[in-house]
Amino acid sequence: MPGIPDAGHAASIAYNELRVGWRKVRGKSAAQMVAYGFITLMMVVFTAAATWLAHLAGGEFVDDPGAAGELVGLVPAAIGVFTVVMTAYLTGLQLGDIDVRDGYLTTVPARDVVGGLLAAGYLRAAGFFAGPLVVAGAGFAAGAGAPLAFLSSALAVVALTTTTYLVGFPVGAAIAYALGQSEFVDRYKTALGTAAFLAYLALLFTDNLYEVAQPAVEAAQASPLAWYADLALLPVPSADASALRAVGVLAASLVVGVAAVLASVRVSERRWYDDAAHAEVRATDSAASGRLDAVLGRRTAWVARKSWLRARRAPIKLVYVTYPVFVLFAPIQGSVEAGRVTATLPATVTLYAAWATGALFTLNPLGDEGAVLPVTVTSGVSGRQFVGGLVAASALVGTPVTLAIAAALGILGPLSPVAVACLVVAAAVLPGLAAVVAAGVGTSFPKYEATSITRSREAVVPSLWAFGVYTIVFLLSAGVATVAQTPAVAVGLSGLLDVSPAAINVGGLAVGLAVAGVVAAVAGRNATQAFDDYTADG
Amino acid sequence: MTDRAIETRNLAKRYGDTTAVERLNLAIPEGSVYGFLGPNGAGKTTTMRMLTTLTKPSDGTGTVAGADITNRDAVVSNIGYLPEEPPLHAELTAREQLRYVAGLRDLPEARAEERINDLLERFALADDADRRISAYSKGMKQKTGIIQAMLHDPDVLFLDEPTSGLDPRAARTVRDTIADLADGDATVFLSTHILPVVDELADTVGVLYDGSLVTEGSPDGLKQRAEAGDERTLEDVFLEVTGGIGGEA
Repeated sequence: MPGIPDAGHAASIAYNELRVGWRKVRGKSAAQMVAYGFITLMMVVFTAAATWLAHLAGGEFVDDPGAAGELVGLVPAAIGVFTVVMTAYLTGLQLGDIDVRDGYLTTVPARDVVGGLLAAGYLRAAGFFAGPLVVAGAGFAAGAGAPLAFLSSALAVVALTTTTYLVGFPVGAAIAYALGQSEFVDRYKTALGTAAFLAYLALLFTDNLYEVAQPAVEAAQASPLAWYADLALLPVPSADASALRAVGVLAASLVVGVAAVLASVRVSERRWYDDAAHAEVRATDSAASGRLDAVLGRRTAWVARKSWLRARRAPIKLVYVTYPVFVLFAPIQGSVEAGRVTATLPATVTLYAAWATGALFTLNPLGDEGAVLPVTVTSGVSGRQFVGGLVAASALVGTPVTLAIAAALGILGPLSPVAVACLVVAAAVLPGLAAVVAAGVGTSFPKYEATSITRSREAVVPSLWAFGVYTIVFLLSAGVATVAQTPAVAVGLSGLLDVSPAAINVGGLAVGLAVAGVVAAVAGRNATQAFDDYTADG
Repeated sequence: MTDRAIETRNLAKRYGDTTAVERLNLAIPEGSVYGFLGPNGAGKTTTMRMLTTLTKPSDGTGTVAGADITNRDAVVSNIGYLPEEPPLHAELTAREQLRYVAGLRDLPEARAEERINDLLERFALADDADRRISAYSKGMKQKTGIIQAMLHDPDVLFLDEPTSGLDPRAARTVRDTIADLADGDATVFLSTHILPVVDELADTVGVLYDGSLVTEGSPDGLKQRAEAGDERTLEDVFLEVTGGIGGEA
């Protein structure tokens, strides 16, 4: 059929994609391998738990099929909607494109490349949950005492996930294409990306994510997508499964699948061969000298301005700063539900803001310079000026934000006036100290190699060690200063030590700042020395 | 197939208000080497991308090895392409990469293996063929990219700066290989800034400037086109037609 990929070429490309992907994984650091191992372990645990639950459900289903009610149609609907959304997202981000694309497109027809991407992408996008679902099907079959249900449920899982995956792929590719064509999106992609991420977080924090997905799942439940349940349950005697619907859904899977492959080829060709939009790049000289020179000194000011300019032009390399934002999940959700600022929110958000300030520009001072590092270290800039510039870049951005958040949340929350004052002092001092601590840790655990953030974007981000050590050191020092301002902690400790809560507030602040100050002094010296003594051979 | 390996008529490419290539007319015979010169940003890569079907022309027509450049499938099977950055998977070894591409090109396995070994020997890569490409020097990657582009004996070979990053010995091998290819039936479309390479190999030289072909002819013809008896170098010609020494960076 014209437009259908050559199976041999597609298989070869898919195999190569998986081989290259596997070798990339094997080339990762020990810490990342441990993370992969942990994910694998979690998958095994999840699969075992799902199989056990399916076994129980199988038994109960045979006893009382009516009790399952709408759940029978809900399961394939939810899996289908999840697969489509997940596939569309991953296709737009990564799965829909290939490394060394020009080489492929001058070697084989584009449709074969799409075929390869579809095959490799299925294992990456849907494979990690389709596999466990097939195994869980065995549990269900055993529980229901219908061995053939294992085969029918496996067929249903594969048909459902493959069809919905194939539908999600062109959707994701089309969205990526449309976004790539828009000059507006090209110009404001940073702001739009941030807004989308914030909207996602807002849905997550306010517990509204399912509210958004619900209409889609309900619509899917009312559609023939629910018929996959008939296919899965066909051999279970007590189930009211329709053979006609089971055969119908299989035939429909085939038709929809072929149409989706053709659509994937069509959209991918448009995406790869049409010219992408390029917004006029306005190269305003925003790095011009100014008042900063007078305050920091010329060289230090240039280091700070360079950091801001690079971050503005390539904000993706700062994305790791948002990783721990999930610690704010519980306090923000609690506050939203309560309709007021709860007791833990001010200290937690202040602590995060101070941490993020430190992590912004100083967590990988040497590695972040990239190919320019040899020039920087031989430019006459001293370690003190260089580290000072990075710390200033972080602190001048982070301190006002942290201060404003701490003051606003402190006043709105149920904190005592003394606690609010202590929190504000901590917010004024900690971001700067955090930046110095980060610089010391970052120079001790530098990372020079770029990390893939998406398929097409690579950036040098701090090492996992720097990230972890900085976070622990920061929490053990700065954490004391902010946590002591939480009413429950202050009251608890005051009872234990027989002093007033205000004394705990002030004492905690003093101890936290003192420890952070000492750590920062050591870290600052370490960072400046590392820059001054830098040689290419380490 | 026509006796023109590459033919274009009023080929043009525009991005919004910006013109990358304007009314380009080429007629390159089979079995020849065409040296494609031009300052940075003149439109050379855009032209190559149009001829290899990677970019759609805004206007005009073109054929490569007799196939219309809007008929991607027909063009792709007849060409080899080495872009400025060799299209290789760093995680594979050179041998794995070449076997893989030979498979995609549907070359018979035994013949492909023989050809891969021959070319690896010829480019002095045989000893390193089973090492990962990520450990290769720039020159070794370039050589692997060249082998990949010519693996299937294409009718037309598009080479973008093929001698970039190569040591003198490897550069010599590339030049000899290009000459050998052109001695057969293959046509080589060679884009480079290294003028002695063009001077030595090219049957015809075309100079692109600001999107338009400003001069074309044999290297000797171009050098002698000035006042009688005044022998010039190709560099003199290039500088003259592209706006003089201060004309373009």
